[in-house]
Amino acid sequence: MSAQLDITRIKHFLKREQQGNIHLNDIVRLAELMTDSMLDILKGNDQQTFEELRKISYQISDTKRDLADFRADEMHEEHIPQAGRELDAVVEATEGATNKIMEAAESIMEGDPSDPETYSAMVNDKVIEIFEACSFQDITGQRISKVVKTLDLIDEQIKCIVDRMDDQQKTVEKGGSRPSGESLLSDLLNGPALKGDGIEQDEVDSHFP
Amino acid sequence: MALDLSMPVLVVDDYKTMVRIIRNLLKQLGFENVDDAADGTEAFAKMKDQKYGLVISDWNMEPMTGYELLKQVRGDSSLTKTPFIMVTAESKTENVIAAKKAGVNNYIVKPFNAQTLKGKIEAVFGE
Repeated sequence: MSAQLDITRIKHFLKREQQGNIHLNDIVRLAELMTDSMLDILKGNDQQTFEELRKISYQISDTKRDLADFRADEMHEEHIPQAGRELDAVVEATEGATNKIMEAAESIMEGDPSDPETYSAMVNDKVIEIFEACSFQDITGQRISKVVKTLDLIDEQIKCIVDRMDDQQKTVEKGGSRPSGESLLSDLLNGPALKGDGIEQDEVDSHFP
Repeated sequence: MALDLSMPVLVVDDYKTMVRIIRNLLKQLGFENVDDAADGTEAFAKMKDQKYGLVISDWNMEPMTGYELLKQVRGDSSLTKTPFIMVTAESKTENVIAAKKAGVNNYIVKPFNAQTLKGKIEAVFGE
């Protein structure tokens, strides 16, 4: 491959990629192209420089493969927005539960104890409402666990890339051992559904006539 | 099956707050004898030790889920007829179908209220 041809490839790459966002992958691809183009020039002149450059070229290729394995698009388009929606649902549930508990407490405070029977029944009803509202802790706990799993997944994948960059020897051994988000959440353990994703109690009831 | 308020009820959930809520709701409904377990393994051990009239279990627990507990209970000849209600945030149709296939008597989606719990217990006991 001649130097002239490689420069043409770089120019073509830049022209082709000039529209839209430039991703880290694109920069790595450009670095790879540039390194490749320099290899041919240096091959005939300086063997040691050529070897160094070849190592850099391999490292860039590995980095490129790591970035592809990282599945940044999946993180960006799926896992991170999902985590955001879970946290929004946590805020909403916490707010709803707080309001219900406060309303029930206010009703008890404002109740008229002059009729003990009516007052007692009302207090009983409001106490049940408070118990019901407290169930938010379970649901929000499960939602936060899902967010933590996403963070763990990102952490593991970044650690994987850092390990591979740190020690090229480990690169080959570690290939293919990337954690999978899907395996963490098996089919029947989805946790609380977001609004519109799960089914309501009425629909569940239709399965138990 | 008649509903006997004095029968022992086992509540299985890994969230202590949820156990407390269900315990209190059951108390309001008149149940006097309520026990609890933090996951399927503990629940199954308790069920082997003592006969319960009703099990109310969460799904998502570790190490043994409520679904696995249900399958173990239905697979054990001495426990197979124990009424079992799943109370869970797992609200996908496939979960409901899987639980029904495994032999659950009723299924409650969290969050729920006292009226729903009462209604499902009564439905299980044909009240």
